[in-house]
Amino acid sequence: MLKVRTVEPEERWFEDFHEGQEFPVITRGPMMVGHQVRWAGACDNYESEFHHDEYVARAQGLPGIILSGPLMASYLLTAVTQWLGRHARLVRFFDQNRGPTMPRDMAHLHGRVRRAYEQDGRCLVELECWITNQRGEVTTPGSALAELPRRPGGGR
Amino acid sequence: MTAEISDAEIEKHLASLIGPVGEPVTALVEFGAVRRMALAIGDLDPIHFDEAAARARGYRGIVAPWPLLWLYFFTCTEYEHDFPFGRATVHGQDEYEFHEPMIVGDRITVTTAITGARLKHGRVGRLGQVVSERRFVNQDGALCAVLKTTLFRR
Repeated sequence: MLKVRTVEPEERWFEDFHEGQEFPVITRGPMMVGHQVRWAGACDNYESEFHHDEYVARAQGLPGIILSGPLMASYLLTAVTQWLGRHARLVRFFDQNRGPTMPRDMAHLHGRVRRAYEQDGRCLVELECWITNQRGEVTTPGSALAELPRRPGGGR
Repeated sequence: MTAEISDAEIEKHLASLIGPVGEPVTALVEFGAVRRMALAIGDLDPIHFDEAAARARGYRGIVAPWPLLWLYFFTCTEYEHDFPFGRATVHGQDEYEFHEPMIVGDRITVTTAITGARLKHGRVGRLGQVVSERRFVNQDGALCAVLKTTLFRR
């Protein structure tokens, strides 16, 4: 197999996060049927024809192909891991499939720190995250909790 | 059919769904599957591709990105349910809990249960809500993840 050009997440520590902190928006898209097909391959799941066949989607009363909710959530989860850096370990993640993402839609991934706190000796960062489309509509609201180590040696 | 079935019958049906679903199923975490998923979701962290990079970050081996849970969701568990009412089933939301990372070469056993099922009355009529829970445990008995999926039937 060809070697994949990898990108290591940045080095960040618990002290690097504070309440209200906004993360840089990551934009994916335009989303295409190919993204959905690739996801279907990774999940080995081709059951829902409306996810990749426009004719079937319309016949079922949908406006067109709808990209999978867990695919969009997985983009958001991946953005969270990038924002929090290479030392973060995800503890929880939550997402809602509130609005559809269709071929040629954009997906803007947003995140903001809700709180950074210590509990039972663990350093935790809780954040809210969400996807908006090109019309500014929130399609996928979510949240995440991650554990991070303190910066070695202390200080910021 | 939708108009004929009573709320009481629907509630009885939904209550009957609660409990284990199928038998536990075990799957091997394969490198090709990890690579394919990481590329599908655009996660280019080297821990998903390179063993040395993963070990340097403190992992036992190449790490599966958490969305790989969906491969096992679709290939190891029953995820469609029969509803005696409504026209469409919508995948509403997911709640993930993460514990021990899944590593290439691990054997993951998935167990499924319906943990909640109820009928609500929304603005557009009857709304069934079914919550299923999948637990992913590795060959050492360590819990890797719990995935709670909520389906809506309307």
